[in-house]
Amino acid sequence: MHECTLPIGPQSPTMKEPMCIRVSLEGNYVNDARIRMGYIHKGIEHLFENKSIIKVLYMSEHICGICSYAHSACFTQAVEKLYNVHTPKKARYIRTIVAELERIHSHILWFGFAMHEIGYDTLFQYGMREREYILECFERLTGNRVIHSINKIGTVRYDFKKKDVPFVLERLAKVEKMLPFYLKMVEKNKVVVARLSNVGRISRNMARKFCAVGPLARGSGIKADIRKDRPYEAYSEVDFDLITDNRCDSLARTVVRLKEVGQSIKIIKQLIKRMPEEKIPPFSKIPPYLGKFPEPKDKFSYGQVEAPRGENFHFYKLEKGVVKKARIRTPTFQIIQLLDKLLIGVEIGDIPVIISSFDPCFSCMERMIVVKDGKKEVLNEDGFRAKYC
Amino acid sequence: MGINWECFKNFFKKPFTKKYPFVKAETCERFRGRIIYKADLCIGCKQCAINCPSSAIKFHKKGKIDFNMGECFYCGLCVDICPVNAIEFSNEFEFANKDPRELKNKIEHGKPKK
Amino acid sequence: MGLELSIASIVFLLLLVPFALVMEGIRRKTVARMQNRIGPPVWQPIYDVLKLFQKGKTDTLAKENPFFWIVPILTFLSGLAFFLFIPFNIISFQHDFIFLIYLLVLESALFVLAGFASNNPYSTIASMRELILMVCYEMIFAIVILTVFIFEGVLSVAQFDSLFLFWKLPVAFICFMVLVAVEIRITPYDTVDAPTEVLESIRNEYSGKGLAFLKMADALKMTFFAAMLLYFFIGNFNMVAFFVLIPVAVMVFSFIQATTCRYRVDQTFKRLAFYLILALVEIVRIKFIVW
Repeated sequence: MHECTLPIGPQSPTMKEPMCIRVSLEGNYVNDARIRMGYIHKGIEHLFENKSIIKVLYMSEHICGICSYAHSACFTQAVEKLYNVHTPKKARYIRTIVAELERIHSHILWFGFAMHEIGYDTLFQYGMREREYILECFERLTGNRVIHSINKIGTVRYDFKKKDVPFVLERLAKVEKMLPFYLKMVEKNKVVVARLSNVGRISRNMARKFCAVGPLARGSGIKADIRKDRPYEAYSEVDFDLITDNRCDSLARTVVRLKEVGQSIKIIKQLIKRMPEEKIPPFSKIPPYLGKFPEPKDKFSYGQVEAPRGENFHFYKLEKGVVKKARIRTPTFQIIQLLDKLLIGVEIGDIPVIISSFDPCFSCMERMIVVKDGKKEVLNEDGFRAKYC
Repeated sequence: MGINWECFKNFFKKPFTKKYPFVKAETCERFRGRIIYKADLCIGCKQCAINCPSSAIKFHKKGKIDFNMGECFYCGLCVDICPVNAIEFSNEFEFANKDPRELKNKIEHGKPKK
Repeated sequence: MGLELSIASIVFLLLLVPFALVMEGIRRKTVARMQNRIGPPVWQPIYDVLKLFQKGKTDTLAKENPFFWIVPILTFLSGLAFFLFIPFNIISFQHDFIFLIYLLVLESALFVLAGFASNNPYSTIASMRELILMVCYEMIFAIVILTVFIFEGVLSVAQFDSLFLFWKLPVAFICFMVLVAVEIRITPYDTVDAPTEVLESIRNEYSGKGLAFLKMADALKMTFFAAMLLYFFIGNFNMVAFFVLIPVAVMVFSFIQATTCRYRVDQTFKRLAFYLILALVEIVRIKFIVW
């Protein structure tokens, strides 16, 4: 049997962001997989230190491009919890609409790339066409297509005007019209089913043991969603279903993500119908631009938000309006530990399907912790260079 | 049957692509493009330079501020906090250049827009 | 049965290369229109090949291997040699159809050799996949060609002369369409050319002249299969109608490519084994039931 070691990545059409997996093959089957990370480490947690809250609010969106609103929402939630800020109803509704639009955009983008991995380029191009409608909605509501910058402490930056409503509803109707077509393609087309079913099985016990989050866990039958368990913003006032699937393979995760798009459209329509008439409060123009809030007693705070990929968790130490320490745990950080266990014993043709069914977002995932002699130390850039280079 | 009919239909329809460089791209009114700095209205409070998250603003003196559009990431903090509304966004986004000295704000004189 | 080459036939063969590249351009444009986008201009493969001839030599470990630069040239020449078989008024040959089967196996084998000659693990995996599938699909090709010729009762391609054979041999027609999909590497059976698994498959290390010859060989093969489909199963009209119907056949291939997705290697092999059994059933059937 022919044996060789094949490097998948760092540059590969399979992965949209750089990561290296060294796979050792025997014939057509994989024997062993080893993951090497670190190609896109940006040092975000160090960049946040000793910067004022209003600066970190805008920097937190640049942690990731696809899930940028989820990180900004986490930071705002942490600060508002500490300072005991009450946001008015309209601001909460606008934030929820932007979060759900981002979920639709992320899932459609994922669907297009997943179909490209198995060779269905037609559905890839159709998916990019649907995504273009959502990006036009973003530009009309927030000013920019990808990085929205709409959050402020206690309020939002732009209001939701009545003349924007037909624009948004028309585009959502176009996306909703094509959704049953995509579901039919995934579940009834025999080539797609032959490629996706029984590939990358994660049983329910294994998902629970590794604390999986997001659509990966919901595709294995676990009901885990922060929007239902600990509702934030406007989620306690709307009505939507939690989608789970019991088949535990890649096909189940695809179907879960497509059906979640339908639920997000349902949430947005309910919120637009019930939008209150009041005006949003203006943001403050007096330093430090946070508004009139009493000085907090505690120093630590956290924020917990359902990003498109799972549960996003930020933990901050805030002192006198300045961020002292940040710890960002993204959903991909939690599920990436399952990847090299699933790759053993599969064929080469299954590797792109498994990697893409995880929906990995490496650029928000990478953190660095140096462990030496059992003790943990966190270094900044100069310290690292002095010690280890 | 669904995909066959869709492909056959789309063969005769107009393509979805917008022929961008030959057809002008339109922006909306909230679009965040190049910064316009009105030097007459500036009072020299330095708040934009202190609070910029990417340190793209250099304050020389009242009425003379450099905005480096290459470092800016268009968050809009300076536009929001300027007490006299001397900084604004324009609709211009096609100003890529090989010379980094050309990547600056536009300077205008006049009243702020309401 | 002599080999007769004149100036007219050489000119014809050389004019065929731009025609085949334009057929490749038509295929890309049709696929793009079905996906609701504009697509490259129809002359794009010609621009690609002309640009590739201007590039220099690559600096890989495989350049010390003499096969690395010989094999693409041989692949291109055997691709040109296909067209000596479809007789027009300019060229006509009196060879057996067995020579046709041999020439197709030769071209596929040369392509596999090009993959092994580059010092690259991805090309090796792709070449091994092509070898595994060749075992099956060359047999199907031989059996289908035998069926057609036994049905007509002739020996050489130039004497072939019948209309609308797909009505009388439907199962052979279906097997032939599947074979076309495997040979010209379009979905659903293009697992040798899967970009997300083996990057650029066999053409990984090539650039410059080698890549230009391999691309021209691919385009010639696609045009030849379109011509063969029309000649055997639809009928041989006069030359002008033939050159008008080849783009229609290429558009049918692109419709198949746009509406399907890719199988894995072992799934492809199982399905080809099923079509092999169908072809065997057909060649037995024509002795007993004929309509």
